[in-house]
Amino acid sequence: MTRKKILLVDDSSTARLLARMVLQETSYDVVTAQDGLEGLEKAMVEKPDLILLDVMMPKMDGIETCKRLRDEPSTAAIPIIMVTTRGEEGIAEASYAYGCNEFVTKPVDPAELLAKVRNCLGEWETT
Amino acid sequence: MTGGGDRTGTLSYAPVASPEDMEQEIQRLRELVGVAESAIQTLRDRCEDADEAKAHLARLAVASARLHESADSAECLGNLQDVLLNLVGSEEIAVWSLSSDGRTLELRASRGIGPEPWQRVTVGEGAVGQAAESGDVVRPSQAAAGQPTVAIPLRLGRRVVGVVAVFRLLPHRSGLGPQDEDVFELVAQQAAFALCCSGEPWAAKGRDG
Repeated sequence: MTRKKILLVDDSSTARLLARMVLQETSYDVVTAQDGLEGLEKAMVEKPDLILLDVMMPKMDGIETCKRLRDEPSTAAIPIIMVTTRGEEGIAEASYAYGCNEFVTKPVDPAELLAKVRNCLGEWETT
Repeated sequence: MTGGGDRTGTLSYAPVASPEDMEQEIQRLRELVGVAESAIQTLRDRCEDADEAKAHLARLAVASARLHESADSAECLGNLQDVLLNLVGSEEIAVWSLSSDGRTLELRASRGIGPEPWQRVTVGEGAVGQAAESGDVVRPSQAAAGQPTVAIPLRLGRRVVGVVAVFRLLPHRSGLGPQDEDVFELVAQQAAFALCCSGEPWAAKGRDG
C-alpha cells in the first residue's frame, strides 16, 4: 500500500519535529518547509496528499500561502489543515474563506492532529 | 428448513423450541453481546490511553532533542522558548541567569513581554525569585495580570543557575495540566545543561536550590 505524503510547512523546528514524529509513526511520509514560499515550491514539486500549514511564518504567512495554493491548478485540490497559535474566530474564518479544510491550534494535540489528518484524507475507520 | 421426507415417504419435523426456550436463548445472546461490547470498549479505552502516553513521550522527546540541538547560546535560548511556545502554549516567556553573587537574576532573553520590569529579579521575591531560591517549579495559585503563570528553575543537579518563566498562556488554553508539568520538569533538568554546553558560563554562578 502506498504511503500518503504530507507536506508540513512551519517555521518552528519544534512543531516540525513533533508533527514529523507523530505522522511518520502513523505511516505517512513527511516532507517539510520552513516558510510559505518554500511551502509553495514543495507543494508543486512533491504533490502531497495533504498540507499542514502554520499561519504565522516569515516571508509568506499561512493565509497567503493557502490562497496561492488554491489559485494554482496543480495544488488547488490538496486538503489543507491550518495550524496556529491563535484560536480566535477571525483567523479561523479567514483561513476557511481562503479554502483551508481544517484547523488545529498550538500546542498541537497529536491525537487531534491525527484525527483531522485521517478525516481530511478520507481514512476514517468504521466503528 | 426444519422438515423433510423420510424413507417411508412421510414428513417429519424437528421439535420446535418452545417460546420460553427461545426467549432464554435470546436473553443469553443479548448478554454475550453486552460482554463483547464491554470488552471492545475496554480495548478502545486502552488504545486511547496508549496513544495518549505515546504522544506525551513524543512531546518530551522533542523537547529534549530541541534543548540539546545547538551549541550556540542565542539559538539555545531561542530553542528553549520555542519548546515552551509549541509544547505548552505561551507566547510570553522570559529567561534569567543567576548573577555571580547569587542574589539576583538577570534577564537573558524574552518574548511577548515588556522586558524592563524584569531586567533584574531579586532571589526569593515573587514566583521567579522563589523558583531560584527553592529549586522547585513555582505556580502561583492566582497569577496576577503581567505576572508569571509558572516559574521553572534551571538546574544543574541541585544547583540552580537560572529561571525560565511562562507568563500568559495562549487564549484557548484554559490552564496547565499534568503533561505540562512533565515538560516543566524536563526543562528544569535539561535546559541549564544545554545552555552551559552552548558556551554560557552559567554553571559557575549556580547556587544550591
